[in-house]
Amino acid sequence: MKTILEVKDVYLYFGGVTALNGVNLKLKEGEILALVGPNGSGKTSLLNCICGFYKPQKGRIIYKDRDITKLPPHARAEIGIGRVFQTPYIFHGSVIDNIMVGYVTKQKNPFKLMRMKSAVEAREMAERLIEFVELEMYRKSEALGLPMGIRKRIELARVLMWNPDVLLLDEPTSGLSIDEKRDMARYILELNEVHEKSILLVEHDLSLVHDIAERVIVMDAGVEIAEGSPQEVVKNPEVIKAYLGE
Amino acid sequence: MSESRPCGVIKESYEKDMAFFEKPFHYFAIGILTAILLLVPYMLPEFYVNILMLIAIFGIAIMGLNLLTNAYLFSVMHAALMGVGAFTTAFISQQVPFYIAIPISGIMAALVSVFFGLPSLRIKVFYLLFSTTAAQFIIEWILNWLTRDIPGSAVYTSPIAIANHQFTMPEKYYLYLTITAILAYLIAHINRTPLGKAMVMMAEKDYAAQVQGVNLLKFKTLAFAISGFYAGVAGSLWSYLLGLVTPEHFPFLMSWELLGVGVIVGGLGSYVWGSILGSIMIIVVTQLTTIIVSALAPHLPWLGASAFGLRALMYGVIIALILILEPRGLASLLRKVKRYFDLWPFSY
Ligand SMILES: Nc1ncnc2c1ncn2[C@@H]1O[C@H](COP(=O)(O)OP(=O)(O)O)[C@@H](O)[C@H]1O
Ligand SMILES: [Mg+2]
Repeated sequence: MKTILEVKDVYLYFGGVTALNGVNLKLKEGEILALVGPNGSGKTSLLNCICGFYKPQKGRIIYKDRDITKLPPHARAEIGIGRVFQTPYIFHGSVIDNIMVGYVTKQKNPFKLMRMKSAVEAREMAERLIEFVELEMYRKSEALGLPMGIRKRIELARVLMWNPDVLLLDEPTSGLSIDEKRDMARYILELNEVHEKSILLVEHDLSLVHDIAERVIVMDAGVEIAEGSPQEVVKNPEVIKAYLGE
Repeated sequence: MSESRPCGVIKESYEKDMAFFEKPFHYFAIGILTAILLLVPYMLPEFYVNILMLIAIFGIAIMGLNLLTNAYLFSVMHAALMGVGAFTTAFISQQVPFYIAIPISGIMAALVSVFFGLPSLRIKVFYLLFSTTAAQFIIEWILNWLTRDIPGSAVYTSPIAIANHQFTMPEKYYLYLTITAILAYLIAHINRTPLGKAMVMMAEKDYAAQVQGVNLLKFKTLAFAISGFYAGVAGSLWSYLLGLVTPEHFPFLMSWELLGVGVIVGGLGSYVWGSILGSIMIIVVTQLTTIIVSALAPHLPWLGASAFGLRALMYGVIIALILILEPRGLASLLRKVKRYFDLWPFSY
């Protein structure tokens, strides 16, 4: 399978803190790759480097054979990278408003954006995605007041507005109930299988990783310590050590 | 379909769902308002028609500033931007007709606004107040410099005319009403497009907005351009109304008036009605202070000198009252009235 996204030898420091200490990673086209590891191991930092939120001090990010290390975040979104945050960023407005914003990544011409046609098209797309993430009940509710599980779905729908090829999902199921987790897992699988998205998934819940990921990378203290199928990885002594401590 | 929509409103298409007026009552209210505005010249002395035109002018400037402020971009250079529009019109009104002079004045002010707004990419909200303060004084200085050889720095504007027909009073007033209505429609329209939503997201979470595809450079530039354009058109209309302009017409304190009273008292985020209410507030207070001062001046001669202080005092009281009683501005009072009638006769 072809590699769609590659992280090459990435280092990231915050003052004296080393967040990423030479990370390498390849995401293949059409796969679900899970990224696991204890808190503070650098998973979020890595996603932030890929989407352009953080600038690594060293290393390169390659997307579809193109070096995007110097590209600003919005340009990375435009070429097909969709980032969903651990804590969703929701703004004042209805659920529809929050989702419609994603349209600006698809339509770049500001004058066309101002036309009624864009508003209607954005609205139609948003409605379809609202059905996908099953938020019909909430479409006009003020989004800021909604519970975490709903907010995560809103952000997922917003990112899907520009139909990205790669999805970076940062703990999409943390803080969700069992039912909500199952729904989220279903969306992720459908996005992967039906819509052919390549997905880099940061996830704490190992049983979920076991169920949906094809490959797992384990990180600890800013480096990769293991890689393999979910079954192999959980048996790896290094991984057990990192998770349970000594 | 939805949970939170007031009952009695049913829509069949997204376009209808996004319409500005939802119920017959809204059309009725707008119809009445339009009829009154159209009849004013035949019912009231010209003084009041002039007042309405001033309200329209400030209303337009405040609409643009309201959009900018709602994007968390604070500007206290908007009086100067009105000045840019006003002087552009004054300088070119002999050569070109008004329907060209007005948009050109808007574009000039938009360019100046973008130029001084660009630092907003690098600096934070609070510092923007200082950089736009600097912009206000720089623009004032340039306007003074451009008019240095003209006595009193006063530049005359040719009257509004088509071919050889010069617009007389009700015509001029109707023209101003039409322009205000068009600009009000456009700014309300922007608010319902994805561009408007992106500006709100940029305002609240700029870092996250970028990751989700919002190009901050593009959207901040657009916000400054749109709001500069509105200020420029307002300045142009001012120029045509007064027939002459001087740099003193657009002082720094007027910038604060537009922001503090126009946007905040009127209602931040309520681009049309909030801005119009804010504008009414400015004009009413200005007129009231003039009346009070001229009525009291014969008895209290020292008052003449403190007319401006009286105005500032009234603003202070109004802003304080609004922030306490109705923090989202006069527009939210209007929303309450609207909601009352939306649910009427079951308004409990
Ligand atoms: N913005 C930041 N400023 C300072 N330190 C940070 C920042 N972001 C992450 N870090 C540090 O980088 C390390 C990795 O954090 P993070 O990537 O959030 O880990 P994870 O997502 O695996 O829990 C932690 O030590 C964290 O404190
Ligand atoms: Mg994390």
